[in-house]
Amino acid sequence: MRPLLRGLSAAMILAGVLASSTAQGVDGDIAFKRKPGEEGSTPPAVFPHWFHRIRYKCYACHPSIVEMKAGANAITMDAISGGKFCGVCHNGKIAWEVSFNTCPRCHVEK
Amino acid sequence: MNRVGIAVLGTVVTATLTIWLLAGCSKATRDKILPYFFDGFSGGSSNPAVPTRRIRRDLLADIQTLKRELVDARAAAKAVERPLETKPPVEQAKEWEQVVELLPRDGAGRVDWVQALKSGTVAPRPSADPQAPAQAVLDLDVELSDAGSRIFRAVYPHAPHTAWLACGNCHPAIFPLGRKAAPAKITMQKVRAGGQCGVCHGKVAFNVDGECSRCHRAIPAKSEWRPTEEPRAPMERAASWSEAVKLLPDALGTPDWVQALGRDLVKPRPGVDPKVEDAPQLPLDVELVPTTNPLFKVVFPHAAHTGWLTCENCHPAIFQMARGADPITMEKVFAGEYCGRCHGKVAFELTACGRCHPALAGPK
Repeated sequence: MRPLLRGLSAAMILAGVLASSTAQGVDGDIAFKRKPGEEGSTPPAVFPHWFHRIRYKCYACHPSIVEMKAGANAITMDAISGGKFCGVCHNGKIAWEVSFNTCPRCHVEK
Repeated sequence: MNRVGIAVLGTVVTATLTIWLLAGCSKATRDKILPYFFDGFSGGSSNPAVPTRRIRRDLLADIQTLKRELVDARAAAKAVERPLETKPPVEQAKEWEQVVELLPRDGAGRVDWVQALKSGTVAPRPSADPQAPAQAVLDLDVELSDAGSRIFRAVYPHAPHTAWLACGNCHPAIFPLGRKAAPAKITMQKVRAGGQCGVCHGKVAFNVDGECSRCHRAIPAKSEWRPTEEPRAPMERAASWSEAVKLLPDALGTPDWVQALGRDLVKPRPGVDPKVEDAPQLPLDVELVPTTNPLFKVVFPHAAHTGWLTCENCHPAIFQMARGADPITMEKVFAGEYCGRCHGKVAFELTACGRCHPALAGPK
């Protein structure tokens, strides 16, 4: 019974490793997805965690600007241009501003 | 002699009387008879001003015809000369590589055909017929609003389109016209799939990728942003992850962010507001010992975590404050709960067993 359990948990761990390594590109990058039915529109954004964490500690943004849970933030371009989420910094002051000239910096074709 | 004289006189008197009588008749009779005797008497119209006017009108018409012929002749002469005079150099090119060298580029580095036409780099003829006139350019901007978003409205300019295309190229097949026609909602999804604007854009006109601002103008860039602050650590100069990862210490195959912070290889700011002060680290190790297998004891170092995180990032939403309150298992961690909320994503991989389980650390 014990070898069977060990084998099972090893399989689960392996599955977990595979899932965690294929779900991400670069370490910690968040590749957003389009809503069902909206696939094929402008490519969804990719958030490079590494680029931000070498400049800001986790708690600079979490949880006051963005909730630390996938899907918990209703991020829209309207919200961003209204100074929420990415727009807290990406406003031309702290970081480059969000405009229709900067779309491909985040919305990259995968 | 007298008889001859009388005969002549008689004839003259008779003729005079006859004409006099006829002239005294009704207008219809006079018009019918008199043209037989006299030149220049036009029957049917008694108004002497009309012939004069008609002649003048004919002359004017002739002048107009001549003028028109002159204009046409000049235009024909010009049409013959035009290919020699205004044929742009681009038309001499035989290969696309040569053409593309001469054409203006847009912000994304692709050929800007609208600018090419505007600058005269290309001078396409409106028709195979050298005398065919070019279609008038329609200077009409149409704002396409997005009900769902404040900023995604687009501006469609007829002008650059009608400089290349005829109305019938797009209307009504691609874009229905008229009040009764219900225009389909234009979406980026359809455009990118080759419908609507995508019939041309992405093929013979500029691609939609990276050219957003050419249609969506709600938030234009005010200026090119430049960082106001010097990089706090050399790693901030890294333009890509592959560059950055070379500067990071490695631990069991994954970047060691804790060491990077401890060795000042990264100097992340504690807050967006420069006035925010760094939170102190908590030097508290917590031992989590599984009851079923004490060998898999875990040592959780608060110090390493509070270098990056504050208490409320984890407590109490992810971990309750009371010891033993959370049934943490590796299965749950691998499924993205507890430690798995960060580890395997933004913190070291879950395969680095020895970093949490001292028994699995192996020889140092």
